Amino acid sequence: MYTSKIICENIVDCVPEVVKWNSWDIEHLKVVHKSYSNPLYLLVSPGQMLFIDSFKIPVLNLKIKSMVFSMQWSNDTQVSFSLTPFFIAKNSIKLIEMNEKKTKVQVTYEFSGNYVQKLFFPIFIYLIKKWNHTVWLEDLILKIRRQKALEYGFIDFNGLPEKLEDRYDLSTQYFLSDIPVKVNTEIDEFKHDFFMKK
Amino acid sequence: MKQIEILKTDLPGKSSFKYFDFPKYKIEFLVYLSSDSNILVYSSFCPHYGGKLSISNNTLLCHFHDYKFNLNSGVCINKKNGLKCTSFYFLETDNSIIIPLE
Repeated sequence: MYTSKIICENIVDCVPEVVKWNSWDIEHLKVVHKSYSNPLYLLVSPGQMLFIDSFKIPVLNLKIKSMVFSMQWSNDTQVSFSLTPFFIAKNSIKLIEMNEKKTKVQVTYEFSGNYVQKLFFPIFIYLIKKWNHTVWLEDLILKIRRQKALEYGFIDFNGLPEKLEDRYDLSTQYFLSDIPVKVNTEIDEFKHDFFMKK
Repeated sequence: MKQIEILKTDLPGKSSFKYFDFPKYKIEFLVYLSSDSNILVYSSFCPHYGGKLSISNNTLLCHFHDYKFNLNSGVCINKKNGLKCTSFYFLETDNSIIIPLE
């Protein structure tokens, strides 16, 4: 397998929490971003999510499906793994606080493929850069506004609705039962006859 | 009591809206003047996530997540969450509207 890496950096006038909110706010994807359509959510829980996404590749205008697992790796880093028809990718979004109202957003895209796919890596790099720039611009107005909301002591926030069906548009999910799955945090995976707690 | 005065000469034209930002008080209003000269005053912040509300086809809209609210009641009309936009009471004088802040 061959791998390649590309790092895209952008700076925005808001606190890291606003950028993190934007990254996890999946409700905005199909509303704000032209390239996304309604995702199919398979698993959701605080800090991790598995979904099938459909999006258009820039320039080529080709619609593809991708399975994405996204998780909050640490307080300042979100990691996603994507399986696309072209390659397997990992992307990390790292938030670097520059001052009290400025954040650098460093997105590292890593992708791997076989020797044939490797020939297309330069094209992937070009498309990913373009993709990152487009998505960044589309999101920018949300981040600036959200920062203003925070500064103005916005207190009307009601949180996410309790029921998943009220939280996401699940109209496309009719063909599979009991999804998205909620992660059950009550399960103790080590609880078996041979397990001994140290 | 704190209050904010907006001159009637600054109000939007009929069937349109205008934003009034008051950073000192950390408040931004969306003021709408209907075709029959009714004035509505809302916080410009969507009650969902704080997106900037606008008005189109007699409906309050938030472009963050495509939330829609009844223009007169402020109640969300396209999601089942019971959210309601924050409206403000005001006093009307000959030359201005006065919005008391608690």
